[in-house]
Amino acid sequence: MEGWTGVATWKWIANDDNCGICRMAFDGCCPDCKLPGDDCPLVWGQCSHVFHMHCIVKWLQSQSTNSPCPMCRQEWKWKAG
Amino acid sequence: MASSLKPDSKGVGSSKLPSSSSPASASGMSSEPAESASGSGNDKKKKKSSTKTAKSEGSEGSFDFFDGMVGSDGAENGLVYLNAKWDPDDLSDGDMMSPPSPACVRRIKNDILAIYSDPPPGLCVMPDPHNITKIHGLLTGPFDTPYEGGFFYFLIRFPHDYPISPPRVRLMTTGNGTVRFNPNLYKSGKVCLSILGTWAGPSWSPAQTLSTVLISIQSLMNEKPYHNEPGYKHERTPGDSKNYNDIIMHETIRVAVCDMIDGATRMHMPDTLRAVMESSFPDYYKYYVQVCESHLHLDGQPMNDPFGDSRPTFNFRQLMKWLKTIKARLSDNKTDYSDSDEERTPGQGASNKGCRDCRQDDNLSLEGGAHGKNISGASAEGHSSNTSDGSEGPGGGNSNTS
Repeated sequence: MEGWTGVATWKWIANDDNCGICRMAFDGCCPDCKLPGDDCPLVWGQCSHVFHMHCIVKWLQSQSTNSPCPMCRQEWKWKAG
Repeated sequence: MASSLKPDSKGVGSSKLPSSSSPASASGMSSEPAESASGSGNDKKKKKSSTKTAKSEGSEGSFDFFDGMVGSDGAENGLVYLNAKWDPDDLSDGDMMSPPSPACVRRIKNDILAIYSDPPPGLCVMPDPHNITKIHGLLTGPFDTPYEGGFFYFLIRFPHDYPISPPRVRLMTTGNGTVRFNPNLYKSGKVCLSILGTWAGPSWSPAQTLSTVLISIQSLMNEKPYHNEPGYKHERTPGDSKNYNDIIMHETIRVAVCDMIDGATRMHMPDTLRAVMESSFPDYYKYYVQVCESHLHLDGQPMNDPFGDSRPTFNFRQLMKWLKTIKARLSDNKTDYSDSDEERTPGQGASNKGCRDCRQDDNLSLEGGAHGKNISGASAEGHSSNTSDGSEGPGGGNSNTS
């Protein structure tokens, strides 16, 4: 054997397949990005709901007063770590 | 549409929200996701007040709705709601005029595909051939309600930053702006629903979809719509609720059946939706006649609207004649629609059949990729979608209609 090329796959660990905001798959990226991965990360709220970071940020920025989670309407709090 | 279908949802968001929309200039078909284009939602537009809407709402008496519902600080919120934009045809602000972001277009297509792949009962949608942000929707009145068998045509426009901002919805079935079908369905076409921002209550969330919005609207059409009016949980005068149902039944047949079928062209309703109505009509015919026959005793009496709306006089006998004329005309034209010879069982399958028709019209475009701007593609064009990645599910489970 002269050489080899390593191949790996990765997957976000999310409790659903699609982002509740853009409805795109978590395996892919949000509609504003071209490539999934570190540039288009997933983020979790303390309520355990998960979204593309770009999607939830857009939503939170649009809200002037309170910022409810799109799925459960609890106040959105970032999950640490 | 008739089919099976009783919306099981009930009482969804109680409020009304105006949404605005306007025929967009945008051909709406931009295709490639562009990183730059993100429509960040800004709420400022929603709060902008337009005298026009304020006025029309006043005339609908919506201020009364707030009485007893919200306290004095609620009143301020109330004003915000009242001034919210709801009209899909309102061109006065930029929300509707700016071209939709690619993300927005993808989401709209996703919403439409979700309905095609799993059509909710009694609900049919058809994107505008020239503008993907504009959707034509047809709801059939649910069974066992005074709206049963009625055809309710809605125009829906998505703002450029959808789903950050809610769609704007207008009921087109209003007898030319003369009939209020429900405490939440104004004669101006305004739909009072909190998720649309037109009423107080749980507001829009970007997890909502076209499907959840339409199902919420469908749920307003319930067995006793009288009680939809805030402050009317109990009848103010005994018999009010039944009396209101009699009025709605009459107006459903008059305006949401006969006038819809005769006036589809006037309303610029897409042919596909018209075909759905015409193929459902025979299924419901017996029911319509039954309603008329059992209410003949009311003929000649004025409709006393419990909310003080002015209404015409009951005339079920005339409705029967009108129904008969339409039936005769439709059976003469039977061959116009390829599926007209299919066997139908009353109340069965009509709506889904209609949706199947829709899908047939655009199945090509569902395969994806074709974002052509060529207007020649007529009906197919509106549906072009590049959802070929197929990852998006019907988006079921996520709707938290409230």
